[in-house]
Amino acid sequence: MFVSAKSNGIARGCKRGAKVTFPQHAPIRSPEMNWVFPNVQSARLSNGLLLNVLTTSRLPFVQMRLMIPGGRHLEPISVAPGVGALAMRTARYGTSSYDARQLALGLDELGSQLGCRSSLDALSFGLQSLTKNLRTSLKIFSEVLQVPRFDALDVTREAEKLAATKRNQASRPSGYAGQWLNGLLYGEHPYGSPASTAEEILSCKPESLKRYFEQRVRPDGAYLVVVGDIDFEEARGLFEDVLGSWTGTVGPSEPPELPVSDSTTRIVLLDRPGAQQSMLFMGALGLQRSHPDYLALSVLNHIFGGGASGRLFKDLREARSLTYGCSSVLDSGMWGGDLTASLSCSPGKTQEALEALLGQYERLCTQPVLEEELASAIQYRIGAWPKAGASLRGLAGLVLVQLLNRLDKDCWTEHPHRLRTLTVEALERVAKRHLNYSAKRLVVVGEASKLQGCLEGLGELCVYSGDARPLRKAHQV
Amino acid sequence: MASIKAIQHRLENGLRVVVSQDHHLPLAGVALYYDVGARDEEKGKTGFAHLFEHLMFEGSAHVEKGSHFSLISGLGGQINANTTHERTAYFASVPSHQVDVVLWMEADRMRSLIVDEQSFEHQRQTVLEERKQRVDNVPFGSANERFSALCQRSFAYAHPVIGYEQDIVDASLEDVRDFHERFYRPSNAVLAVAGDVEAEAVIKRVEDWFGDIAPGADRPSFCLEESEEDRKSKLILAEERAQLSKVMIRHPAPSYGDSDFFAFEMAETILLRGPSSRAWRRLVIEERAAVQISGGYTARRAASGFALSGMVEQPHQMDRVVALWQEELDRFAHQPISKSEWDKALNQLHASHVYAQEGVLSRALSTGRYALMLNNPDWLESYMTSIEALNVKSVQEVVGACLSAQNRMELHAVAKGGRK
Repeated sequence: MFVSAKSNGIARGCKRGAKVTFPQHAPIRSPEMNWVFPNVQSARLSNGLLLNVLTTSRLPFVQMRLMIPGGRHLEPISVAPGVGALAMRTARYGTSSYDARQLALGLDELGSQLGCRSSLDALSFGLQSLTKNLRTSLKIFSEVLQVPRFDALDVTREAEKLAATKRNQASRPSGYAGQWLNGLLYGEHPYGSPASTAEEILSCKPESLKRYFEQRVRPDGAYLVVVGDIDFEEARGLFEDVLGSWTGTVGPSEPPELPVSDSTTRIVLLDRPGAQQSMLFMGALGLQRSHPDYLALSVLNHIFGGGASGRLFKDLREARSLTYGCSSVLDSGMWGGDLTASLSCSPGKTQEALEALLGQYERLCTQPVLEEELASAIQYRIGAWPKAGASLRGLAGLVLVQLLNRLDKDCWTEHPHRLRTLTVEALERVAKRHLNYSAKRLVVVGEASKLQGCLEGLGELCVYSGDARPLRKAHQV
Repeated sequence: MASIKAIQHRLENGLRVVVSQDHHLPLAGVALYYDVGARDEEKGKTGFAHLFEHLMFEGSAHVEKGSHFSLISGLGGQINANTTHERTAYFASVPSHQVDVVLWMEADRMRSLIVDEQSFEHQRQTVLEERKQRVDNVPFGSANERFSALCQRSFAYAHPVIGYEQDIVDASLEDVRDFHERFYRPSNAVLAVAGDVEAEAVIKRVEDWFGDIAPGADRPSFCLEESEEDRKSKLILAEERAQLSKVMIRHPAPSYGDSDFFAFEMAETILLRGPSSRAWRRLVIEERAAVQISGGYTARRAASGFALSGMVEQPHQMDRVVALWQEELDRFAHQPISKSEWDKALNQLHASHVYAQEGVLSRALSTGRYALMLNNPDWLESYMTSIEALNVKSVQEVVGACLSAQNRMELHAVAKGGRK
């Protein structure tokens, strides 16, 4: 059964006289696409809230997401840093009718799960409920939206918990590396603003949380997506009944223009004496999600560092054993985006890992991808497409991406077809248009005395202590 | 909600096959479990099961080294593997019309794995980097290992799955070959397939491609050897970089197959699941002893546990967390549980059971796991019936007997960078 490379792959452990010959090649069949993104029905409720329903009744539960444009990126220009995050975190601790304990008990008794979070571009409220308990769960959900309690005791406790978590960030190997990279990429734009500090969180008052909620959490201009075991008419009646009396309009959410990236490589080295590994983070500005070149850039990212079949994994891990994992992420929001790659490696391997990472990125920026790479990437994306329908959460997420970024209505039904139209030449044009090798940014975490030498000469280098965090710009306060 | 029964088949060579048909989406999940994990390792040779998991991607007679990922992703699928103390799992999800490719690939590496010095060295280096990334260079990485060693009386479960650095450095190709010979046998494996497939066709393919692989000798039987030596029940460590301290608490608990298993599922739900759970309310909300808690019941075939860990701002709060947790365990065992709280837990378990039914890969993984661990791939189908048959008094008795202060182990990792 176990053969060495010299034994020509003979299956030593197999019985003689087997009736079926084992195939010499993988029995790959022609691609098929027999899944179509399900139909989404929409209606505007009397309060302006846009209801979107996707019915699938395989399992007796419903996943619901309410998304309000305008998230953390608004904090630096509209409220004190941390108010939004703390308000969303504390909203679940009581309403005018329920105290914190009653609310938690009410949801747990129904087996329902409530989530409230603030992301960069939007505020998001989620509810998962068994179909039979949906109406009762929704009444609690409605109270959280409309009349959160924000008791001083709950606000103080949640602020202390969040502040402790933020302080603890410094002890992680990556520390504030992500915030440094965002600052290098986006400069003074709100996307580059450092996350709120422990001190800022602790200074938030219940009144500011209430005010924030009153201003931001409003139905007109928000998107409600309901996926699962409920039909459209039933959903429309139910949500009109429970949420129809909730009124108000979501405020403006557009941030300032994005900066134009200059063609200088900028590097931050965060010194961590005695680190067992160096961590490398590379980034470059990308595109907002609604940009027509997004799809092509996402395929370029897949070829570059999308999982175990990406160039980074194949080169840095499979060919050179430099790291356990190396991948890239294309993160595209409503107003801008970035392409980042990261890895960890032993200090002695840092120079080679850095050269390999930058070499692969330069290749992506300047050379066309191979035909077979593109074919494989497209086949992966098309073949994996039915997985989008495997979970209610996944389906709800895709509907929200379409709504929030104002993509065309048939973007998901047309998705496989649009992937098939991509060509090597189209990807090359997109790479040239949006990826500039010289404009990359690097954040490196590790022992500075061992790393400084391999970073000098690559660009503008600044060295800071490992637990230093980037400062907020004066106008972002 | 329609129930999906698994169809079972056993090949002459001992390979067990479990197929669950679910035609909801054109997807298939495949999970191949080998009954081998870190518990089968010897002293001085730790980390072998996990290292071997890496070597399974180094190529076989018809599959080139490192091409598994691109082969499967080129079809629109995903593939990966993981190792625990008790088993090693190789799993993939693909468009259902390509399921034969995964079966072929798994058959090829079961029958003709190729490992040479170069590929062995390559994976050794990768695993050493993985160990640094997961253990050596992160807060509490070492503390987690020390706690596991503290809690277990057997070497089999006390050592880390990823292995000790020196053992990985010292491993030889001969050791690996020997490991493969002992454990990577059809008679020591379960193959689970779920999704938009026809059971008959899958079983025929498996017969065709796995059927002629020799069963090999029976795997060495696992014997849990536990030390009877007196041992410490509490360990205090310094965590140089951390800003928050961490306390870890664990009690031994029943394993899979034990009649008390479901009582502990209920105890976990009442104590730790959801924002209204007793421990969350008491430790985090009311007493504010911990910033964050996590934990629960981890069942295995042996050496199972019931655990809590808490992050605290100031080191002295760790004793408070331990005391409050033990109070809650004692209260659970000795004071009345109201009907409404009991019903709430039943509803939570029912809802979680429904939510967990999404996804064909998760179904392949769960049917394969329970076929291996309990010889019953449909074990989850009867889960709620067993839960609903519980009564308060017997749950309190069995839980109280296990989760006493005398059985408690604890580790305090004291942050040196935190607030005083």
